[in-house]
Amino acid sequence: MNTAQTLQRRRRWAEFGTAYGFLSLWLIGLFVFTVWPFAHSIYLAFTNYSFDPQYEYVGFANFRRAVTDSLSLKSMDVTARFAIFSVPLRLAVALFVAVLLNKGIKGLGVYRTIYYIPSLVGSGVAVAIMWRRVFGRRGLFNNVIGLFGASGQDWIANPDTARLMLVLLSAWQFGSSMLIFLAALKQVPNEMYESAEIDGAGVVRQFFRITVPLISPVIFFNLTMNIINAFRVFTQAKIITNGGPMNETMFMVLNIYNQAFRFGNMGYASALSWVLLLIIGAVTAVNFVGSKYWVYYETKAR
Amino acid sequence: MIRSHWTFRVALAVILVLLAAPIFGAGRSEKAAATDEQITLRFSWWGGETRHNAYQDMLELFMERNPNIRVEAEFSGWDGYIDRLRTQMAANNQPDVFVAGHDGPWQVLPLGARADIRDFDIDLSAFNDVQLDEITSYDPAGRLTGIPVSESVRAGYLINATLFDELGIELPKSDWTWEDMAEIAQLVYDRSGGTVHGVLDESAGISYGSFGRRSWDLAAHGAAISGPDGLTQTAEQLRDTYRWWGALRDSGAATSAEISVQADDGANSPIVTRDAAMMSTALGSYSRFQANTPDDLKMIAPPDGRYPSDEIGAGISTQISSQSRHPQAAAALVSFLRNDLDAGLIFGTENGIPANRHFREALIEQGLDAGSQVQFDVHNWVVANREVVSFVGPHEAHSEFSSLQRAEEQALAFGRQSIERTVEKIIEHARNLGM
Amino acid sequence: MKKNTRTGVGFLRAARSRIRARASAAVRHIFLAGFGVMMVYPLVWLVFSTFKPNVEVFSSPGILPENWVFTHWSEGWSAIRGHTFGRFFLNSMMISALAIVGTVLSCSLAAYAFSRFRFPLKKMWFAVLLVTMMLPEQVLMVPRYILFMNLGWIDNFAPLTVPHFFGASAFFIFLITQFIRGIPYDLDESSFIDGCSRVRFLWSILLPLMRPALFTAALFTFMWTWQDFMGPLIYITSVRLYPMPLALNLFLDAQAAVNWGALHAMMTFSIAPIIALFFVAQRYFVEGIVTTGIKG
Repeated sequence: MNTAQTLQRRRRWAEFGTAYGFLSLWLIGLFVFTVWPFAHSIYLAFTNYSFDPQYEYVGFANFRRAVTDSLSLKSMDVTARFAIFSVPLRLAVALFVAVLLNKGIKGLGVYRTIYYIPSLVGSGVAVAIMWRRVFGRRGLFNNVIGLFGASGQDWIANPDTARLMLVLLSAWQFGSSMLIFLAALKQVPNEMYESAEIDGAGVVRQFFRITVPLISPVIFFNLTMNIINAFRVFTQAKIITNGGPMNETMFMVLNIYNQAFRFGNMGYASALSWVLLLIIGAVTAVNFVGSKYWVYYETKAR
Repeated sequence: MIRSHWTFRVALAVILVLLAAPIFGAGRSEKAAATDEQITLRFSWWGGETRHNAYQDMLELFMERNPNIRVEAEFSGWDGYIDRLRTQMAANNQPDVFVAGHDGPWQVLPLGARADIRDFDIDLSAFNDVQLDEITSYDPAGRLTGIPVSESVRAGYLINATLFDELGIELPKSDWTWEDMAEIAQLVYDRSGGTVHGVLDESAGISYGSFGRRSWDLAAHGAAISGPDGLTQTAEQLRDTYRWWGALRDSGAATSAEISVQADDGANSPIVTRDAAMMSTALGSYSRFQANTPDDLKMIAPPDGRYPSDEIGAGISTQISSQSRHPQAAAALVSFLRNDLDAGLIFGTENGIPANRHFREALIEQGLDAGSQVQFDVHNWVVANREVVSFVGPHEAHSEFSSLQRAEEQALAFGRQSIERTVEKIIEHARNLGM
Repeated sequence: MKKNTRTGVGFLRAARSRIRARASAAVRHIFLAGFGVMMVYPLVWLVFSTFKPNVEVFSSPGILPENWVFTHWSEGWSAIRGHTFGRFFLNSMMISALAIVGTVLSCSLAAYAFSRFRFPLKKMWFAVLLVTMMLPEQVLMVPRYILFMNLGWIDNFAPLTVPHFFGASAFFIFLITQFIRGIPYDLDESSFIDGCSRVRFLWSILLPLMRPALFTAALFTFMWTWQDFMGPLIYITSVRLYPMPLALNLFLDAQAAVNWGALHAMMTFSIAPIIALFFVAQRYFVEGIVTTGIKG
């Protein structure tokens, strides 16, 4: 009995050991590449480190600057506005196209491919360069609208439209959200629509009464992921507008990059990173709390 | 099914091995190279296509003559060049040889990252002592941290002669004033029926230009700004210049904000796209712009009268990294770039008029090409006719300051902000940065 | 019902609804096709612009060139003196390949532990995993740079590849964990009775079954590393080591006389592998996105 117990215990410990063995690569990575940088970043945020081996503790000065400095505030404003416009636009287009594709249509595969391709390449440098030229003063877009007699402007250089061009670029990549919606829509039982039709509910009413509530968990998921992604915009802002004109596209991540790698304010940049993280956390939390009021989970069915 | 599992696993294993090999292989080969006397140097500069080509040609010649040395080029445009060097220096990863300046924005680069040229066997006899002394003066330890590349005034004014000809306007001469310039710019705009602006608006946050360099000055004279006198004087000067350019912009003589904001040093420059007939630029950039347009470009001295005249200084130099693992090879490269006549002839006036007097003589003897002739003319004229001042003083936050200033000036150019407010905010930025 | 259709009213109603359905399908097709053309138009235009003379690139919105030019590809290939785009392509391939191998290796090991073992603190570690999944890496760029700087990894592929060998993409650990959980547990038991060790089980039984999940992880790792701009921008300084995105940026930035056709050719070249891969492995892309909601 006793030996059996020890044997069992030993076996269990061996199992723990094996598990941690399998986990070890990830655990090492977690501590070296995430936890340590994280801790270091907190420390740095309280210093004026700028590559110089001699630096000082500056207390909350960096954080104070992060929430009072006009450029930092501007970058928050710019990022928030971008998120507010781009996320709903992208989701709305994605959902709309997904609904159209859902009702049994020929050539679904072709459409799906066409709409997904922009998502594949849209976040890269090549598309960013292309976007910059397409919407430039002598760009493709102005030439197209020129055919209809309209005269364009430089959409990238104009402070009123520069960010809008980035919003459009983001909306253009609605493909992956669309695919997720499409999969969710397939789960909605057809009988629900049929019975609604018998009750005389129109298409719009069906959409808001049946479709939206039933796929609300997926909408919520897409919303959360897209908001987080909207806060991470960098490549497009760096290449298409480089933050300008008038800092209208100075996104938070671009500002952090500039502060750290252009101006050498590593300490301040660390504080800005923390502010960014807190904002993303707060927005996500609000999103989660808000979701209670509109996301419908099918708990009873299970 | 079972076979396909096997192929999958075998494929995975093969890929793993294949991919692991290069990592370890690469590390080993580098070590092996060092013992084999096969040396690899890194050399960095900034510029446009013509300068890149000139340097690459020179490097090919150098490698042909020194088969045991391989030079890897690290080149880029101007934007972000200093910042990148600075980051590299922080990581002790700067190239073995690099082109950089000493004053103004260059002050962010740590002096310790550069080696003393006098530690090496490099002939300095062809260089101007005044320039060498100036470079030496930047280092408190009195080391010579670079060999000057060029010896010329910094700025010239580019004129699109073809446009002037088409519009039937006489070309301006180097002894023009800013008032002349405004008048001519207006004439260009009117005669072209509003399709061509006279001049690139230098107050709209562009990074280079005679007035663009006011911001450079402002950053450089940081100490003066914070003093009670300096501050008011600078603010007054700023207001004055913004007003002056604002009037040109309103009348169409200077480019609209939309054009100025997008102006860059290459294909999108208004002088290339024919959006403006005149613009200020660095002397050494002439050939780059000419290479971009079929139009005939001329260059004259910047107008005089209202703003401070031009400067000659230590300019930029070729420097050796104090961290280089192959300092002798690096010195050989520097010596080749700045002392070898063949190299000098390839480089020509790519970065302004060469500092090496033998290069200058050889270029003249060989017969100057149009681009070089233009630079010599402007340089000689300015030296003979203008009071040439030396470029003063640094501020380490230049990069940050000028980016803040650019955004404010853009807001002004787009009419989103009054002159008063713009100046106020610029001064505020300067103060926040401790200037 | 059947009776009803025979009567005039029922027949009419059925016919009307059939016509309506067809009309609605036609409208949907017209809209979807039109909108689809609008969506891919820029990309198609980009590809064909590589065969247009430079003056024609931006001046004509048409797809097909009026005058065909075939030199842009070779010009673009060698546009950056000293290196060809073949070099940059290989650099990108190297980074992506290493990242893929690292991800597949480290993530499947960790996922195996999470899905098939009971061990102390498992719930906590899994929660940590979920948190790191949500953590935007941009937040850590400064301290990571300093870390890699101190390790002497600057201007090296290491910062872009080594973390992948240590499960840097928490997302895929999650994905593979979920996948393994879907594989029946009986399989494990029967093989352990046969005396199969844990490692052997993973290698010879589980791994082949995990193929779809591993493919998905590999595909998305490829897409992300292939298009990553910020990482190389921060860590790579030698042109020799530039991956495609940096090379394109250099092309745009350093070439004063921008040869648009050539630049577009290289842009197309950089996009091509992703599109090609998508067509080859479309199923895994779609499955990956749908099951985990990965951002494309």
